[in-house]
Amino acid sequence: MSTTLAPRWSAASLTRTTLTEAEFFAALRTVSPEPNPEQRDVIAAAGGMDLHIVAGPGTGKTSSLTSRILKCIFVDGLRPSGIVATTFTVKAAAELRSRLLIRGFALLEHIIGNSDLPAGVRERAARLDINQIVTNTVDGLCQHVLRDYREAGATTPVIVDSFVAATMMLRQGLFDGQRHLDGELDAFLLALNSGGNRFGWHIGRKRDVLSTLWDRRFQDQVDWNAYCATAPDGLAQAIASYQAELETRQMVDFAMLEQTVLERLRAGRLDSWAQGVQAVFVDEYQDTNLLQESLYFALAARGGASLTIVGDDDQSLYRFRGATVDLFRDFPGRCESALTRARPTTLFLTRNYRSTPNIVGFVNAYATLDRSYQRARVAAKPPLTPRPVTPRAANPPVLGMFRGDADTLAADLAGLLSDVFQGSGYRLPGGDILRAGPGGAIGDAALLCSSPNEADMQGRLRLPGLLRQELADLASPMQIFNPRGQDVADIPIVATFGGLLLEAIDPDLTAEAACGRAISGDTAATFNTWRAAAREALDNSPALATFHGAWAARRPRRGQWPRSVPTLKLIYALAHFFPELHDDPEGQVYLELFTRQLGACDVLGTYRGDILEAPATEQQILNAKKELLTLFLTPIASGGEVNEELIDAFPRNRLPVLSIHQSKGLEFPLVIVDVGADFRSNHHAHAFKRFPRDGSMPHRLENQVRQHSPLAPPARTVVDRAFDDLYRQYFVAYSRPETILILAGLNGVSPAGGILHVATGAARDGANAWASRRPYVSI
Amino acid sequence: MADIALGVRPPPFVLPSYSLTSDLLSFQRCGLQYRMTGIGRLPSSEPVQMWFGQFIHGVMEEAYRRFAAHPLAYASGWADAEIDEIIVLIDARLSAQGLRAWEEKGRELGYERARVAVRELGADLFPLIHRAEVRLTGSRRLDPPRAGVERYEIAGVVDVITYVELTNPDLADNSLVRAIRRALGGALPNEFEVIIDYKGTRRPAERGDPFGEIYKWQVQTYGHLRGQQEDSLPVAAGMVLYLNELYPSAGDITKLRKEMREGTADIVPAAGSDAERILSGRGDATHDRLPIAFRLERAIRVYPISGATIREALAAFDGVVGRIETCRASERTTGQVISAWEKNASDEGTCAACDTRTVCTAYRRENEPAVPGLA
Repeated sequence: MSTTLAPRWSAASLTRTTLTEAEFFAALRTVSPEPNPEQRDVIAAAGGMDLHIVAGPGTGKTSSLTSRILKCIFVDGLRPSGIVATTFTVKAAAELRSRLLIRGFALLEHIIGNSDLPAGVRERAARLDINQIVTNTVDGLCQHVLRDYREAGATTPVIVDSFVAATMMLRQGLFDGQRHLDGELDAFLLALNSGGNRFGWHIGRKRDVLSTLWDRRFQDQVDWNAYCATAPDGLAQAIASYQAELETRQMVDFAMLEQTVLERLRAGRLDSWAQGVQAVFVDEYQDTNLLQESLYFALAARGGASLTIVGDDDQSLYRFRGATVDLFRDFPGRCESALTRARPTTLFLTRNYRSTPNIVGFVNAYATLDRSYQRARVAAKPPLTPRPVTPRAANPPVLGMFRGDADTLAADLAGLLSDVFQGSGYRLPGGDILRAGPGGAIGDAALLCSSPNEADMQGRLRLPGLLRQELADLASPMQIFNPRGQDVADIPIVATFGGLLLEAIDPDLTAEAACGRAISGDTAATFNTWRAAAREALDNSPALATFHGAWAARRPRRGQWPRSVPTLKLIYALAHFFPELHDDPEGQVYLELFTRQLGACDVLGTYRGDILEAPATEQQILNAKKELLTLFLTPIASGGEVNEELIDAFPRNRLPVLSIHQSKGLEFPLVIVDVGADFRSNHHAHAFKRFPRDGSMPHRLENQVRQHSPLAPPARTVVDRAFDDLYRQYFVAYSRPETILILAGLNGVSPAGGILHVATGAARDGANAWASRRPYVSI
Repeated sequence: MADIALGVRPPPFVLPSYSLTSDLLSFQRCGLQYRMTGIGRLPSSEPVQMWFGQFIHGVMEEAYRRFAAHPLAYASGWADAEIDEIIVLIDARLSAQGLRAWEEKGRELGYERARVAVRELGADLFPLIHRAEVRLTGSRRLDPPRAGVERYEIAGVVDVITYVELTNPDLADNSLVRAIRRALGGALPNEFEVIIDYKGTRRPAERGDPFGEIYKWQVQTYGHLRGQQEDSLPVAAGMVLYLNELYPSAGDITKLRKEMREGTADIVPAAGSDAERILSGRGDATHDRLPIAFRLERAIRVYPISGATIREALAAFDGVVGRIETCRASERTTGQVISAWEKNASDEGTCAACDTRTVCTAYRRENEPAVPGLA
């Protein structure tokens, strides 16, 4: 039992232990469900102990963490302001804070009103300000610390917006010195990206690889000079140019932000903060990186704070963003050695409250499917424990829907969703009828895919796109919510809107021509497509055509055309003609995309994102247009996904389509997992998505940069790590549903279908246990 | 054979967190505009107010930090060159974030206001400051719950918390302390705090301007949140400093003259004063022509804080939060933005600067975008 270990916080160093442990648990029972024995161990462990909590999906991790933090305050006497809790996303941090405040205030009310408790206890409770607990993402915490604990005379660095950072990397990293034409650099980045395969290789992707390298330099604490000695000169120059630009503008990006805090912490320049921190709680630790681990260790070292880290190695998905799952798996040893204090205790949360017993059994079996994967997991990790099966609780089987082609699959899925959410129900094998619950809506279901793209590189519709069509064609149409379903440049409304802007800013293409090589061939082709889409929109809307015609010809409504018009005004005026941009929560994401990128142009450019006309000089007019083309529209045309932070919440009346990465931390009553609606053969081109023969960029990158990092090169091969990541990805997908899990794919990927896929039972040795015993019922 | 009913996915479990300024005051101005610029993060195409607000706050904070580090260095006042150095520093930082003055004239006006604020207010304000830029948070129960929300978090940043010790002889001639004494009367504890909030606006009219009420609620709420903190003294008052009044523009003077004619201005010049003579004429009354004492008087507004005033303010904010949550729920249910949000087309100035006005169903004066053109 964890509580038998002595706490490092001596009684004298604590403010006061106000409640006994028994009193605390009695109070807790009045405001939240009774914790199970595993959860009780987590909550009860002394506030001064370092803990390593391995929590499977749906095991009440956030709830236990919340109760543990409150126990540290009410029993161990820690100050609310002495507690720092971080997690991976802004949304998760908001949820953790919400739970802390709601449960914390309920506990306070109970304690203050409980006359059986000593008066002193109630008086202290009345003075406690739970709001002072710090909850944030690591980046948010670093911003907060640099702002509030800056030294006299020091300025707070400006945090660079992600749009500005991306544009700056494009401009300084690639266009500066014409490095985008540097063949040696191109080959180096391409090799990292795809092992040399040029398919889908464009300037936007090249910029992304550079940005990833820049981040990784800090995340893995790389000896950059040593690494650059192994790369073409262009790489060091590109990164140096980007860094110089940031420094000139007194900006830092997120990687530099964390690095800055780490350096100040280690130098003792943040002791006024660090020494007030008594306990640090980190959620989603499986996706942490070496820089963040160093931050936590430095914080604990400077002020003596205890560390409680929570995570699940099976749910580590963010290797491509620098996550190193080994840091979670090996936390006890790493912490002991870095902080030279007692080895943290490992506790497991295994009781699953989210899913039906059949789904839990399926997930457990999936996690142990591949023998080699077991070596990458936390040692001696127990399986999830399902909730007891009761006669009245629904426990339908896991379902498999496999069809000969994607069109049929989409049509049948649309039919099922229609039956469940707007019909009389869907009959399951065995006769049970599946229905939406009272107040249910299609937002209770989700389609999870490895990629939510609606079309492939050749423009053929994929399952999300086909499902969108099929749902729209129903007698009572339904819609999907999929803001990341396409490369932004290809999204029809983005193309049309971008084209209208091009045609208004540069109707005769003089500026585009004057940009020369600053606009790549790919971007020019996208601009052409956009302009064509705009002309089609103008043909279909006389009102838009009248307004746009006057704009393009600079025909003022009265008097003279102004010398300068903010492009933002043109954007909002054009948005007037597109209800999907101003009246639709999904569409508004695209409007924000244009405005945020214009903001980057404003920050980085000379002309503030304005459109100039006489009496400005011809050269000024042309330069302002060139700036808009290169800093505003080119980054959008260069492609990429919609920034995740732009997506707020899912509307209830649409089917969310999510990448499996996006679905982490979410749960839905019904989940459809696309397990291979794209795969018609064992073709090597898509093997990396189902049965990898080689690693991907994150694996190649790890092998390179970790030669020059304290992490040292990974012990497992790139192929093994690629397999591990796929198993984790589908583990996450399969553990999202509450009641219904549907595996959807083509017949070929079904267990005996001949196409190897880890999602349908293939172990990395090629064996498939599901072929002889399917863990799902076909529908 | 049985029915299997799916559960209903609950809305995200997030305690709504509202900032006093960027959420609640903004929603009061117009719900739809708040949805677009606050929640939707769509930048305004005319962000005049945003630049000046951030600029003046930045200048005052930096000036105070310098004062706090070396108070004796400023005993005989501020050198113009140092104020200008601060001004340039802060403007450059805002520029790096894409925040710029809309036009040169506006920038110059902002710079002048900053100079007067540091020079004239700083001398009396900075020695009183206990803490600057103080982040406050608190939780409120929403009773009755609205759209499933039972509790919300309220957050704000107090520009300045002052520590006032009435028996301190150094404060005898302090103009801000005098203003506090005047507003609060006799029954004051010897030591107390006053919350101070800078506003990059002119002083609202006594009657007919809803923002006057909103600012009052804001300082009351700050007073309440500050009072919850362990290290606070009794919070006796909130002071709002309307910084435009320190260096009024021609437009500000026109409005003041109108309010004086209509009897809606609460601070008017004393009969026979220079200020009255200047304002009663039609000539130039801007900038340095108005006596600084009158400008300071108009810039300073003190609101006493008591249990009753706090309860009134908190109830008002609870009501606003309830309305926001209702709009949010409506948008989630319908998947539409325009119809889901409250609209307020009563203030032409707010609507004229709103980028959503042509699609707003409450605003009738413009229902399609206009092509640019200068008369």
